[in-house]
Amino acid sequence: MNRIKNYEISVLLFFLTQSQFFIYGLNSFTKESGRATIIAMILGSIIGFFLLKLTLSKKYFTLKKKSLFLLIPFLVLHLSYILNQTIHFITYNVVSTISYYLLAAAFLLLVVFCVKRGLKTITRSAFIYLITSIFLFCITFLLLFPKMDFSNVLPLMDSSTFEIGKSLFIYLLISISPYFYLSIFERKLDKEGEKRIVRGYILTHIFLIFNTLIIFSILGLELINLYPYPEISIFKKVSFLNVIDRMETIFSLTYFLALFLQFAIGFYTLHFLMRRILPIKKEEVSLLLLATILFFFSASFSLSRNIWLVTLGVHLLFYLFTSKSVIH
Amino acid sequence: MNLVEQLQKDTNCASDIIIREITIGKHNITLVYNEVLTSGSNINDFILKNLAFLIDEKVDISSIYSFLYNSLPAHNIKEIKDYNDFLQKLFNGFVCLIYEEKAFCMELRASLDSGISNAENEIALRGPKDAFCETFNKNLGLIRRRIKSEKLWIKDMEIGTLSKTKVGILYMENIADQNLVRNVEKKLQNIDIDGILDSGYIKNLIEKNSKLFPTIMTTERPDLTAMALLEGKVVILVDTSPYALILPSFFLDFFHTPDDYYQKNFNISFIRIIRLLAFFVSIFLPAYYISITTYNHDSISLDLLLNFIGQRQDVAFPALVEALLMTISFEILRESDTRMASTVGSAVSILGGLILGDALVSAGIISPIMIIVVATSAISGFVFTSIEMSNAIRFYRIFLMILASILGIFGIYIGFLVLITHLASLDTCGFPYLSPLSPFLPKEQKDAILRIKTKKKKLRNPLLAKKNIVRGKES
Amino acid sequence: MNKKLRLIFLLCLLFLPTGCLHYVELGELEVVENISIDYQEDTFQIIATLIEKKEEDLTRKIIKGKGSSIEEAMEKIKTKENKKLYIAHLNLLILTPNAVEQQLESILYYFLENSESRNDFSVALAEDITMMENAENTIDLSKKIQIVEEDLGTSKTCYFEDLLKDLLEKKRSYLPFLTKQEEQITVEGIYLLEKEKLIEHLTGEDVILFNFLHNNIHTTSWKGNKVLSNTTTIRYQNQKIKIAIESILTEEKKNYADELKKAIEEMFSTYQAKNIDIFDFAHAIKIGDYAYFKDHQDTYLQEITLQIEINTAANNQGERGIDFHE
Repeated sequence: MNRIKNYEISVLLFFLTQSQFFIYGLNSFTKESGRATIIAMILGSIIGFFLLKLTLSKKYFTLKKKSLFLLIPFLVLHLSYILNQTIHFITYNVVSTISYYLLAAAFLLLVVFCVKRGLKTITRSAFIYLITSIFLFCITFLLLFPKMDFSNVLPLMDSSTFEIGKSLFIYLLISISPYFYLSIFERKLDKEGEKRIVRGYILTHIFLIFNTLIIFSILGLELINLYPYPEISIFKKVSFLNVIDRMETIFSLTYFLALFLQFAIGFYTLHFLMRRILPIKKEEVSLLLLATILFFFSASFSLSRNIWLVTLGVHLLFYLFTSKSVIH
Repeated sequence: MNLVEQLQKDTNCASDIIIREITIGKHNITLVYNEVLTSGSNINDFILKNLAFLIDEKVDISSIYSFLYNSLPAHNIKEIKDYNDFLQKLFNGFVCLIYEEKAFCMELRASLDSGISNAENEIALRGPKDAFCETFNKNLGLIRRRIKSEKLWIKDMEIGTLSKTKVGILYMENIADQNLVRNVEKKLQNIDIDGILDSGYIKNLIEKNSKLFPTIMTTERPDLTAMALLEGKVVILVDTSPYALILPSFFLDFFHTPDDYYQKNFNISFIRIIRLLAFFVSIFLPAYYISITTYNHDSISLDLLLNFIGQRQDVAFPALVEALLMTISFEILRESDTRMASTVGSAVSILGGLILGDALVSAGIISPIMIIVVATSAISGFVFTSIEMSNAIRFYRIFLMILASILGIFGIYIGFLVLITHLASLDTCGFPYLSPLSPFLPKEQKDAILRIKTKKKKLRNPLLAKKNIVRGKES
Repeated sequence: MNKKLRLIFLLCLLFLPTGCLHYVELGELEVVENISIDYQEDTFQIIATLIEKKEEDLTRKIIKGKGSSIEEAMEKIKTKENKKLYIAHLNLLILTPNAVEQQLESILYYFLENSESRNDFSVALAEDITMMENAENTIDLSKKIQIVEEDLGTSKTCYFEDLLKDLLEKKRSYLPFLTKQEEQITVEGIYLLEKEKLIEHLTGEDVILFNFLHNNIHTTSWKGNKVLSNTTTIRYQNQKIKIAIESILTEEKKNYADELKKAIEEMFSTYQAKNIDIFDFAHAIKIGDYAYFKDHQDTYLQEITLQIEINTAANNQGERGIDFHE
């Protein structure tokens, strides 16, 4: 009962991947590779699938536990960027008049509240969030269907091979780096567990590609490049009999849940590592201290996306070149 | 004699304790009983008459003790082991017969309960209407009528150093998990308290991990109790309490009623969706209204926005103050209605309704839409028979209203996550509270939110019925 | 230590309600229905129509502002009560030719970057915004454009997002044109916009043809033929634009298809000579043969030919299902 189940890990990985894709932004991909982003995503998913199959059951060398602490600065950068992006998302799409500091403080308090209750609680609540996201997604899909124009997706090959390759590489980075957290969740994965993770991967990428197609068909390439959050802009078009109208802030919850889980898992990992260094006995004190550090760090320094991609690269390297059960 | 002397000393010769000395031939026997706890007429008919017969007949019996033990017409006769046992029996409605150094007791309790009546708080639209009463044995009888199996086991104990209340743990030996039973038993044995006056005391003492949402169900309905036992759950019966405790109770159990199993699946599925909707409406509606009138004005259509602007023109207070004022007034009205005698209660309700309704709006203290919002959310909260669930919903409603007034819809996001995290962190007797949703149990989904008929073998909850998961089958 | 820590934490929580400082009560809002923008002599002139509900009736009032930038002009618009202008429910944005040709980018970016603006309003062109000073004339203007589009086919609603998309993709768009006739505001066709210049004013049958080829006909009347519905598909193959039009008429007339075909070819030739892709064939070429389009972006218009196929069907029962011929 206390063990985290395999499907719960898959659910968390779905949210982590979705969140990382959202943070990077569909418009960042389209500015590189235009409509061929879809090709890049499909190819990236296929390559990621084979990479995952090869590396899930790996048993090669383990990093010494001391060198785990090298992860800490990268995790701090990673989480600061995510916090910054989350608050920016909230400010832009949900409430524009409230200050950054207040939103960040409230968000961090929420994360501390959740992390304090343990990884088991986070994974259980993730399943409920999945049900909520699926429900909201189904409503939006049904109501947006009449507005879809698939000619907006064409022509697919409107970029060069180099541009597609660049998007493919970044997509691969975003897709596989969340699997770094497998070393946090699971001591060892049996064959059934591996199957579920792979199935979860396939479903995640089917969802992401499908969602991208929907956004393309509704907005078109030009508007995707123009809007900072094209994924949210499509929700403004959801309308049904004046009842379901202007509810983009409710539908935005799906992305907020993904961002929250991404931050919460990262925060949990960082806290776990830091407790090994800092001699603080009380959990609440260490959680609040860490939250304060991240608060001031994200408020004081505006990190670039490239630095964030570097942190993802570190996660990916860690996943690829170490065995599991390093942290526990 | 020692017993009687000790008793008189300890009770300061209490007037309700009757000590009657009777001589039969050469033998002196003493009858000791508590006048208020025993049935006087039964004592006369079954004990004193028979003793009088022996006296008249001038019977000389060498072993009067064993003769009386075997011949007196009482359905429950027990030997008294020591002074403590003597006291326990005396205060439980037994008549004690003391001869020289030996004593035995006969059960002749007075019926000091309200009798078996209809359920008042858990109304059945279709189904049995009987409810538990204050007597342990009668309650046990109501359950045994429904489960005529030898596998329905009961473990008795006394809890309360002064009240010595009889508490019984009921479970199906061939279904329930023994670890669960042991766990419950251990929790009850660890209770150190002067007196247990109701099952609510026990509930509060063993339900330590959840301060808001109930993890133990209380019910006055024997059919619901029997249903729970057949699921593999454990039931606690408490003497002098008309409410049984069912544990473990999951979150979705509070959305189910026994009537769900007496009606068509399709109708019940619809009703359950309504209950779930009522849960969310009750918690989120006032907060959503506050957020759209303070931060997220673009979330409503132009017509509604203009209506709201018009309605709020003359209101002096911000939306949060309005909402809190209405909520508190509603709670005051509800509480006073509950405590008032029924003759006066209806007049108070009308007065309260008028004050809360028309007068407050005319005075410009609240807007009409706020009355609709708060009333809808309050009424939605009463869909549940569990008062604790309604109280938890009320707390979250106020919490979310405050969050929405500070952070708009982002506050609602935070409130939603806090609610789900809180529910996911709870466990009931070691089982996850949100089961079967999370952890996801596919086979339990046919009776979780929707009720779906299936042709496959009916299975019990795999978390609880580890011994015997297939219904209709002995282990 | 634990108690002290909790006290500090609670004190910090007291700062949270400072968020309440940022909220805006409903009563402090003025809902803007329409905004009209003119640009004359380096000054933006803005006329805003505000809408409110008083005792079951909707009332409108007009306010004006001026400024050297659009932000300054919007700031200067204040009502007597000094309430906040709220543009999230904006219905219609009206621009003058000067504003379009000189300041279109700054106007579009103002609304794009404004977090309140939902970008779901329509845009129109007007010769002069002074006609918007009469509040009664401004009632339901966007609906008027829509009605003309749907019932007559002689105009086309332009939404803000469509305008942005067209300008970014093709550097070409259109705007419905509003004029004042006998104290009433009417919709007079559309204006074509190319590279931020208003190049052509289409009215009457030209607009209907434009709508035919953009698959935007709901109901219309064309050369005496009542068209109930229409579907147009355009495909590109080997430098040929294949146009398939399927119309449902109230009464099938033999010369409808021929007349329509001829009119389309004539209109295309006229604008082909001016190098204006009036029917937006670029989109079909891009989908059909992107490589060809990429290499012939400036010359494709001169190289393509049309192949038009028109099918008609009669709905003899008329609009109400009654057969008038019996």
